[in-house]
Amino acid sequence: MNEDREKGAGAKTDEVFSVIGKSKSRIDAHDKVVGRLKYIGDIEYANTLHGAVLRSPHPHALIKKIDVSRAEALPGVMAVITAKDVPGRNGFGAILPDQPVVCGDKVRFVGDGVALVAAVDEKTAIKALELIKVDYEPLPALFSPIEALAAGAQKIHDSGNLITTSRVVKGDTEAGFKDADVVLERTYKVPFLEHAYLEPDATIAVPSADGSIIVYGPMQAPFTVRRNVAPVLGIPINRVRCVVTQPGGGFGGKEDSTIDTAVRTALLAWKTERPVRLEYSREEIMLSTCKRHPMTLTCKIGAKKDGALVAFEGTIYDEQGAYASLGPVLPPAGGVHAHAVVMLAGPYEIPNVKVEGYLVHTNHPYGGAMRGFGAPQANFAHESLIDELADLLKIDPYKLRMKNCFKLGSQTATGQVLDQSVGLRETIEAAERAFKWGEKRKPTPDREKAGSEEKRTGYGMAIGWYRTSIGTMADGCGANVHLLEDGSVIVYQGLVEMGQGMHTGIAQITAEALGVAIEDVRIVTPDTDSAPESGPTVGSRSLTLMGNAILLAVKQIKESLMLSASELLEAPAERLVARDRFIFDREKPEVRLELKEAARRCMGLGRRMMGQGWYTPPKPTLDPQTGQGNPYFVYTYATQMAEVEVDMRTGEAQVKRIAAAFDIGKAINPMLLEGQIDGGIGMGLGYALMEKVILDKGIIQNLGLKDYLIPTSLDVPEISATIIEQHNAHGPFGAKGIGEMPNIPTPAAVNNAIANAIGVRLYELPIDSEAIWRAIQGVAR
Amino acid sequence: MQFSGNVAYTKKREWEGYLMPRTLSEALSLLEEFKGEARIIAGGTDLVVQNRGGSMQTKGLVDITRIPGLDGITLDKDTIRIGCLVTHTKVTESLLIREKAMALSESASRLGSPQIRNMGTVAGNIVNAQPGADTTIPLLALDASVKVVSKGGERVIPLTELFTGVGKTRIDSTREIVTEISFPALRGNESSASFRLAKRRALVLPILTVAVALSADVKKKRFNSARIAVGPVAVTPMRCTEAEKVLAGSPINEEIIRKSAATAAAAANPRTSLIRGTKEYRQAMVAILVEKAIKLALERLEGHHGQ
Amino acid sequence: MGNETVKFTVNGKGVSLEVEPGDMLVDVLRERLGLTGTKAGCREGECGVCSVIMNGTLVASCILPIKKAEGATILTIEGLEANRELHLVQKHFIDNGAIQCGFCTPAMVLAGKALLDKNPRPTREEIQLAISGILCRCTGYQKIIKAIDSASKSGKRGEV
Repeated sequence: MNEDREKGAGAKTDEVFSVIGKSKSRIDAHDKVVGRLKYIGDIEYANTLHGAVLRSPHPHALIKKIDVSRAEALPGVMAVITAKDVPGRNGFGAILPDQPVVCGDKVRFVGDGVALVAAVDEKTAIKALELIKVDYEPLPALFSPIEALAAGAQKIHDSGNLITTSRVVKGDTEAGFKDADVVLERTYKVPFLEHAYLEPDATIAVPSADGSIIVYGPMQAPFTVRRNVAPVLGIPINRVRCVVTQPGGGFGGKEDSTIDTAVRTALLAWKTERPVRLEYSREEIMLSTCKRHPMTLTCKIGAKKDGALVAFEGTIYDEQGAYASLGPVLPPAGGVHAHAVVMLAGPYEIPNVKVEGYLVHTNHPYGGAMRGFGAPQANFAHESLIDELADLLKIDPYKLRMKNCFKLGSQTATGQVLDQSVGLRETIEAAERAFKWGEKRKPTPDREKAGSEEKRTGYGMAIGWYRTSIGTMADGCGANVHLLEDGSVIVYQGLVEMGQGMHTGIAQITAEALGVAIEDVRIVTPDTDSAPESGPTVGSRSLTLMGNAILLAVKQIKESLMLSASELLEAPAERLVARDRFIFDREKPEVRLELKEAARRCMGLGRRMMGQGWYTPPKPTLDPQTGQGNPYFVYTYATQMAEVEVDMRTGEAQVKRIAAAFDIGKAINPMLLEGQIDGGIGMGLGYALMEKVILDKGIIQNLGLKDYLIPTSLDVPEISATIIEQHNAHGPFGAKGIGEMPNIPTPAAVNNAIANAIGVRLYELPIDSEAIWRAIQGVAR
Repeated sequence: MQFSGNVAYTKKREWEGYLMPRTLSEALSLLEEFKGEARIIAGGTDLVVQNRGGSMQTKGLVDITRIPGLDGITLDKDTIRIGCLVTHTKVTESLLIREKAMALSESASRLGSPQIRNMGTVAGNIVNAQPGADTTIPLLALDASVKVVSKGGERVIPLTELFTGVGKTRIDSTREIVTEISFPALRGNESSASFRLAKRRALVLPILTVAVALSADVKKKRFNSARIAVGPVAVTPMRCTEAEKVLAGSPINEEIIRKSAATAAAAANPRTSLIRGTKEYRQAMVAILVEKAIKLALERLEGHHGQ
Repeated sequence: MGNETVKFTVNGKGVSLEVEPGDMLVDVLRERLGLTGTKAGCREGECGVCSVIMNGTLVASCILPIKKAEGATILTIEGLEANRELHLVQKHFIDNGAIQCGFCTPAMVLAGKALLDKNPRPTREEIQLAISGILCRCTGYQKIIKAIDSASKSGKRGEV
């Protein structure tokens, strides 16, 4: 893998850092590589009961009667819980508490929870499920936004099937289209996706005699879990303690699924007064936990002959599924739906934009957070569209993008002026150099001329942008940092390490800022009892926001530290530098002492050795009527180019090579950054070519990893990545987020490459061999 | 079948006995003791999965993997014999199979994953009788038979007469044991090839597997005969006998090959599957893969490396 | 019928356990022997995180009935470290950033070791094939392949 780093204009990165920018091994590597890190499935509690959930077989039905008597009577069953037994609020959810912990009056999707059981062992718990008798009265079920919005359609929730609409309105698109030389309109469809994290969902809840409760689990958002468990049990939030076990992969899914398991496990623990473990089988995870939102995106783009974009219109039908999860708008710009609407016009300067989105309930499993949070869907649409536009205009897609894409000072579709950290053009150029686009790519052939060769190779590209953080008003996070008298450091914070390397990153930031070694920093497992409110580990926010919080905290410590050091060294504090466990005089470096000596002095003199940092990013704005404002405070940019070989007879597509480039402000740890890039692209390839939750009459047909297909090692080609650093003024050492950006442009890059090979465009994901075969043959499905 | 909505499964299987006899006769006696409530297990890669969640629970398992003498691959005069305990991995590593039955070697290497190939047996793949069974299809093209042993004696059943439905054969695994697979070794003017179409490159069931074994006179540019096997295109793995007749005695040319492939496709009757693809596509792919397999088999004959 | 004793060797130590016929190796390792480094991700042999080395070959322990372990030599991730020194493959995983969430790591490391034991100088394709039965959602496989490759080229002799 080639890795180049390029410093963009405005980069402040000629500073020499001690650990920032270094590819340090991750701090939990050893425990993972010897198999000693304990995930939730590896933890045992004495006296634990096993939980199980009875689930609805119907996509939509009234519950007429539940008879649990035979289950309760089964020896070894310690509790059976139905709706009438819930002590507090029978509802949970990441945004709206609209999902019943146990359904009382109706069920809304296949897999909806109807009863909970706790028993002495797994076998008894599962047997008890079979003994619960539920009388259902099926209702008409709705399986698409169009069906659900039709006049007279059955209401899934009393509030109606349309949850919300969002829009972006800038300029005058009608006039814009009149002014255009070429107008192109297309509709794109993308399906439900499964996170398929390898670690199954599980939770352990341990009740205390005083009515409080501890919940252990692989939570991405322990504070969100806490504020859901408390009202369900009818206790104040300070009586719930959420302790995070490292997730074996999250990808947004464990932001939501852990609320589900936590409230149910806590309820059983409360009822039985014993620890309870609830573990979902792989099939249960697929059946019942949140998914990526499916969307139908209709986009219309207008351009002048020379390629200047003049107008863009889009309509999104966004399928929420049975419950709200992370779909609805969290003002001003949070929630999957709002985000997709804001992103749909793409990273292009377009004077006239009009986007309308509809978020709609159906009787399907529900959409939640999944890596990219609406942006992958939007990106597939706008990058496929602009590529087809390039063909229509007979302009190289690279040139068309370079002509219109964001640069410093550009105005987005929401009227936001990008006044700093815009490295998009640099990523396009860097990807081109690595990929040799100019040399390799030939214009897209007409289908008829696609010839009878057995294999054809195509080249495609896509660009993208992604926010750092979540665009809500409550977007803060805090860190408590303690310097101990021997120079070691403890950090309390609530963002979660789930493989992305975030804890290592903030350990590096702490070490650099304080002047210690990375080995001296201990990041405490996120625990709501000891960590300050930190928000969820989502939206590519963690390293940036928590890094800033830590820098603020460290500043407080350094006041004492440098004061003590200046006394010992007899040098003015302003001249002192802390670095690599030493503090020295910048002008006379031989005048120095060990940092731990200064720390010991602080302790001896009762000086403050702890710092607290609370960071909130610049406040987002977005007018709900016009979609104008600054919804997110900084963006990461990326370009991906794909070389795909298509077997013209079977339709099989093989991705041979991907070149990618990312502007991430500052690479805190290049090796871990590359890991995120590789993994994200791998995920994007899955979305492009093979992933789909297949539903028929509301029932998932491909439950389990056997038939829900994610890429194996034989499916992912070599990836080359270039890192661009356009310093982010609002980021620690100039950094901005990376977690989600890599999987966003991949589907369109692959789609565009396939189009370049076969001379036919595809408009739906996944693009499997049959889809390509049909496109080549000209035969609709 | 109404979906129950309940997909919570116990970690353990609900078996009452798991026995490991040391001889075939001991195995047969154990089966008899269970009176039809026990069955044979070798690698178990299909059976153990099927027993999850109660769809095919058996009471007893009689594990034959400790019986010696059943894991060999031998050339016995003109017949290749594969013991019932031979794993897919062993087949892929066998030089003999690569030289004398390439289609089987190829198919064995594509099935499942390295772990599944290390554990699962070729015999088990046959007995599990899925219409798209990976190693069964080339064995069908190689005109293989199985030797089945029971208390009553032994019989040899050609694969062409073995399958009776999806997952069903003439073998009663509660009373009988497949001990060996055999087929005639390919001769100098014979070769084989197989192809697989699937949605990703490992850990996946096929959309289609095709295997061809043919005999041809390269100098005279004439096919002598051929056997073409495909699946899953019917309830059982299928021989395309009409397509085979198109090749028999015919000149070797593009038109004949395509005609044979089209005939095979016409005989195939795949259903539209939400997971594997539409009937139309699957049927079209039969023609494509059969053509590819015929051509590769011919190439091998001409090139003489691997048959 | 019913409960029986099974005897095998795990990580060099002999064990003798009373088991039920339907127990799978993965659960015996994790729950009876406390060897939780081996994971369960799907319980139908489709994800590979349960992989261990039995009698020298990589197997899926979640679909391996425990009686099959009778007399076997089993190696789990816990058995790779010797005298607190990491195995070659483990070291290269750390140095090459091949670990993210870590859930597939034990299986991937064992697959790497199983490969290098049989084939000390594998090609990139052979490495891809060796790990093709283990799903990873975090790494895109790139650095795992690089780690195994770099371990194979490290010039170390003797038992890998």
